[in-house]
This record gives sequence, structure tokens and C-alpha cells, in this order.
Amino acid sequence: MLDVINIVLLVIVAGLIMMQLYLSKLGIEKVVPRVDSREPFEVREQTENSLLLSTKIEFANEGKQCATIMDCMVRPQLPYEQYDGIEARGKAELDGAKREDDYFEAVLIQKQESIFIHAMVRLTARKGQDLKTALAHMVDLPLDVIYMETGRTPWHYSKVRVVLTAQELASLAGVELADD
Amino acid sequence: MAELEIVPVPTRILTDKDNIIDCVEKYTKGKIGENDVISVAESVVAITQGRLVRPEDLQISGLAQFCCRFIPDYGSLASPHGMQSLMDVEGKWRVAFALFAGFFGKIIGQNGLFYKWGGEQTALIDDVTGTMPPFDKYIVYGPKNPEEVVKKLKERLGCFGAVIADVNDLKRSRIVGVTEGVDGEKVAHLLIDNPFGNASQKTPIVILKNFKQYQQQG
Repeated sequence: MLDVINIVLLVIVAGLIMMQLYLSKLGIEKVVPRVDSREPFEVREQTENSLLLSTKIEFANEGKQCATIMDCMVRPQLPYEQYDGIEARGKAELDGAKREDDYFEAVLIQKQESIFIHAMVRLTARKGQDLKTALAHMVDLPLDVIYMETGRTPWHYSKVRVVLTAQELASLAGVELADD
Repeated sequence: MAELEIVPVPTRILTDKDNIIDCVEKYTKGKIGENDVISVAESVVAITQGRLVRPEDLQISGLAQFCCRFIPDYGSLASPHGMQSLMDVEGKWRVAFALFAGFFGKIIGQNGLFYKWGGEQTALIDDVTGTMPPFDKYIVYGPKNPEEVVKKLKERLGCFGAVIADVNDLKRSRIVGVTEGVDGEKVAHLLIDNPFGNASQKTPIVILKNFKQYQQQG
């Protein structure tokens, strides 16, 4: 009797191990935002009192299964306690799918393939200043790129950060940084 | 002899606040006759019935996470939320059993057991990205009581017939509900090139003008 129970247990354990090995072989998705190799910021649009900047980030699926980016947004981290001369508003836009609204349409990333997302920020001068004056006193601006991802794993949010330095911004806007 | 004509009808985005019968009547007014068949996209019927759910609103079980791994990654049930949405309507043990049976069925050369025993929603659920914005972030079920919906459409519009169709750009064309007297297979064949169009075209209604004569011709 004991032998039968042992054999049954052995079969169950062997089955579980084989199942685990099978699932490991299948793998899951692995979304990697390649922020280190992102393209430099560029000016998308410039008006009298605002500047729209953008950087293109590759989102690679290095996993073995299809991934889905259900949503993506850009959160500029500029508290007015730090600098209140500029209002910063972020937006994420899928490369090749320009939208006038602030909607991010859910998108698939097939295994071993990539998509590109533009992390954008619009900077608008505040407190009656002209843009150049406001930008001359600007600080480094971290942008959190927050994305909702899923695939074989339940949906979850992930976040990466890119930093638009004051120096890079000044150079793009053609202003000289003030020595504050 | 009147020629068959396929006429896509643009609409605004329809939501769960809309009544599909009223909307179809409104958008096809003056365009549909007694020899025509009205065809409505399956996902739009389901959306107007409120048959959609956000992944965030589901309690995703370990069983759903496990079972979804056995569906190819391009399938609507391949994600934990897609699988959970099915389990919520068809029963988790029924779905798990059907999956298990389907797996062993394949080994002995018997395909399709999962879809046969897993419940009607098994083949009807659209996962996120499967529907146009703003429903791209939702899981959309198949429509409820499709036969009743097409019957009401036919009565209201006074046309030859009505169908609910599941069509996509990958040459999949399937009739989910059809009124008596209409050859569903013929309609499915006519819709194979997806006259409902892509998301931005917003044409969830298609009129098959003079379908009655077309069907009679054989």
C-alpha cells in the first residue's frame, strides 16, 4: 500500500516538475525600455511662450511571449517649490501614430520585437515671463515614463525616468543659463 | 435585376449608453429596403449591451494565470485577465477542465475540444487591443442573445434579414446571429474583406443591398 502511495506521489511530483520545465521553456514577456540609448531631446514645436520637446525611447520585448502596453504616460516632476517659472505637461505618443489628443492606444509588442514611444513635455512660461527668461532659470527636469504592461503576467504599472537637464534644455532653446 | 451592393454605414462611437436597435434604425434611416440585409459588428452589439470589463476590475486568480499559459500568445485568452474574464462567465472549473481536455484531445488528434466544452464565450471574447478606442483597454465579451437582437433588428427595420458578424482584417468572418431565411454562410463570405473597416473608419453597420435577390440566384 505504501509503495502505491509513493508511486502516485512520485508521478505527481514528476508531473509538476515537467509542467514547470515546460512553462519555463515557454517563458514570459519582458519589456525593457532602453532609456540609456534613447534619442536626444529635440524641439517639436516652439511658440512665443511654450516649447514642446520630445525624446524617442525604444521599448523592447526581450521575452519569449507577446507583451501589451495598455497605457503610457509621462509625468514631469517639476514641483513649484523647486521652480515655479515654468509649467511642464507630459505626453506619451507611439511612434508613427501621432495623435492630437492625450490618448494612448493599447499596443502589442511581439516577442523579440520593439516599439518606440516619444516621451514629450510641453514647457510653458509662467508668471508673465517670456519663455527665454523663464528657461534661463530652469532646473533639471526628471520625466517619469509610466506604462501599464501585461502579457502572460497580470497587468501592472512600471516606471522609468529620463532627465532633461537644464543645460540640454538651454541649448535646445538657445538660451544661456543664469547663474542662480 | 438589382445588383448586390455592400454599403458601410458610419456612426459615432457607440457605448453601453446606447440601444443597438435604436442606433441602427437612426443611422440607416432611408438607406435600407425590404430586400436588404443589415449586418452589425459583434463587438459593437456587445458594447451596447454593456458586455465589457476592464482588466483592473477583475480579481485574477492563480488558476487563470496558470491556464492562460497554455493558449498561444496571440489568442484573446492568452492573458491572465482574458482567461479570468472567461472563467467569470463560464465557470473556472469548467474552463480548466475544457482546457485540460483540449490539451489531451490534441495529443490524440481531436482538435477543438476546449472551444466545444469551455462555453460559448470561449471563441467570442476579445482581449485588450482587440477593439477600437476607447474600448482598446477593455475585454469585450460576445453579445448576449444574438438571435433575439437580429430578430428585433429585422422587425424594426422591415428588411429581408439581419446578422451579427464577427469579422476582422485577418480574413476571419463568422456569423454570430442570423435571422431565419438568411444564408449566414453567404453573408460571411461577402463580409470576408471586412467592410466594417478599421477602427478609425467607425462603420460598425453594413447594409447588404439586394441580398434577397442575390441569395435567390444561388
